[in-house]
Amino acid sequence: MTTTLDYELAIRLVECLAAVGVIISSAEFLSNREIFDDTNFMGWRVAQLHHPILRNEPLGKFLTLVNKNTLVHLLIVARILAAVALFFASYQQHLLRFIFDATIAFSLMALMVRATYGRDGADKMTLIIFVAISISLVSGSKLATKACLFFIAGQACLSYFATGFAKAISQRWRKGKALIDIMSTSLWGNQNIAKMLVTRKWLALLITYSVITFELMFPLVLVVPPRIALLFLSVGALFHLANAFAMGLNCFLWAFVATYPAVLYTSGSISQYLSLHISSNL
Amino acid sequence: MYPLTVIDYSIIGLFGLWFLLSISVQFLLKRTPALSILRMLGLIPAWSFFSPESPRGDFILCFRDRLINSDITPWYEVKIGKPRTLLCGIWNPDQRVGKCVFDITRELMKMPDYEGNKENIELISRTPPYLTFVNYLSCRFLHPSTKERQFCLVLSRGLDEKTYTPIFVSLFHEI
Repeated sequence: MTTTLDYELAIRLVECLAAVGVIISSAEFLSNREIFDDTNFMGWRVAQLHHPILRNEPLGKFLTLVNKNTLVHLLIVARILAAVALFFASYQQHLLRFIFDATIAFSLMALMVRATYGRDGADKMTLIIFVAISISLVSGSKLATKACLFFIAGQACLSYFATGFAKAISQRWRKGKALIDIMSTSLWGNQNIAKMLVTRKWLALLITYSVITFELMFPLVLVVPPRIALLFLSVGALFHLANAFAMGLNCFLWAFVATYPAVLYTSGSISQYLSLHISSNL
Repeated sequence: MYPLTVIDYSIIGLFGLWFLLSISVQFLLKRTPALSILRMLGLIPAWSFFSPESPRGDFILCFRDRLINSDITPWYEVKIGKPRTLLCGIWNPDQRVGKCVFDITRELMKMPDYEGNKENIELISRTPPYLTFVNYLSCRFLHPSTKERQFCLVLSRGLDEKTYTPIFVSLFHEI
């Protein structure tokens, strides 16, 4: 076995898993929609302060016009509908999928501008996924789809590696203190876990070094045999599941696990290439 | 192998360029102004997830008022979100609001002019994070005799015995 996933199935899995995250995060936004009020953290008046291009004429005036809260709410509703519709599309329906994917990508990007504060890695990864798929659907060719899968896999590897690297160069992380700090917060923490880690420093160190090692080694998933890649990704999925329940990072689970079919496809393609290349040289 | 079209070449080139920019942003071009629009749109994120600086506690937003008769009220805490439950592993809308307060405070703390130079608070008072809090508090929890409002940020740390450290105090602002 060299390739574990067909490219059509891989891209559809990426789309659908990411769509679940889109539905959840969009519904969360709607349940908290006062956050877009002018006197709230994602108000347009606040967002405009962040970049001169958002205030300059004529773009600033146009954006102010389209950033009415009702329109923003409608955009989020459109995003939910597009995400639901994606489940009913088939791989061959390129135009329909392009419309749904591009709607989600546009809506996510528009909200990125509003959400200068409060956005997280899950939002960014989801955006990258839907923009990349929309671009690949402009052509709709087999090659564009494969390039898109390689790109998403590359972004996933980069995100894990960069994060692992940032942790590895931090003294606080290396001493296991950062994990205790995070677990002690009410925003991402868990008092019971924090207390357990305070009394068992070795456990804090073990978890910290496991996470750093996993994140730094993640890019290797592309060159190991597919069965090991699958095992690696299972560990990743469990890691995100644990983060969802222990830290409340529910949308990270969908955004990052959505990249896994692309990673698995890329890993399989590289393995296939390497085995062909090596066997032809023997 | 079928013939490649111009669109195929363009798409592959675009993905390649995008990926190279993404790598550069992680390690080299973190603050390059030329990429600020792409960063604002979230297309080339610098991945960091709680690193290298991890959160060391909770940021609490507080405010107090100067009333018409010049009396000053005690500080009040702005309650953001509800305590997390197991359900938050699936559905967690409150985290977004909490993250906003966290991000704004972190940005406010990064202002180079603030530490040890109180005159520069005037400069800071024109920055986006400062104005965001002023804007947020300008129409909430109002008392009929409120004339001006001041906010402060407190760092709360610890487990059973929490410590509270004020980390930022604003000017009074007319309501």
